Amino acid sequence: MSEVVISVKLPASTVEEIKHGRGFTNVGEFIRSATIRLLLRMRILPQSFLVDRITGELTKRMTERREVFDPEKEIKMLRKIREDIWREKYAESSS
Amino acid sequence: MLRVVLDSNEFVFGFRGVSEPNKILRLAGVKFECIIPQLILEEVIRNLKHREGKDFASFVRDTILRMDMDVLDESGIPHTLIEKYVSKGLKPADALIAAFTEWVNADLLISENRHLVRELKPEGFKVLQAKDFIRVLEESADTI
Repeated sequence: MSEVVISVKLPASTVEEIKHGRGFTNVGEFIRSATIRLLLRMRILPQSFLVDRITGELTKRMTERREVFDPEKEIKMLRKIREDIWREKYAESSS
Repeated sequence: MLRVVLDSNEFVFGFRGVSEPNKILRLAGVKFECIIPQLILEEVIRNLKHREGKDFASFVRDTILRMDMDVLDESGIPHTLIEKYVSKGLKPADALIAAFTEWVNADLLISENRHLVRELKPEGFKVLQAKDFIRVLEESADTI
């Protein structure tokens, strides 16, 4: 069985519509449902176990939107956060 | 038992699965006494909220507060102590962490921030990266 990976990019306006629309709890669910329905209609997916397979892949892809972990970038971000918090809490009293 | 302050990067790296910081988090309260300022907890939560979402950040906050470590309010640190580290060239926010470490009489400050490890010349405590701290723990007690 070949593996199918599908990446989908939606316009921000569509994402907002899905979020506030009825019937879907999240964008991932919407994409899974729409993709499977389309593939079934095109008769590319005649078997249910293949549908499950693609559902799994899409679930994985949807939760993998985080960036690659970069320690240096992370340290820079933490330093910025530290300075922001310090300013919020202490800058006034130290000046 | 060593008294240790962990920098925010140890928590962020550790909770995101980086090997050495992760190991250190699991040993906190068991192999060494751990104390952190409130500021560090806030940094960790703000970073993880941005990176991983508020659910994961809340989970981490609960986990840290349940861990065997003390989270202390840093607002009582004397200004003169903070100024001492500012005069050594640290930014005020970093100076506050160094001053906190001295204030609580900690033996070590553990950080992956190489700039801090290299530049900070503290009195009364050492600054180490996680991998070096693990070596110290291994040498002091053969079993980890």
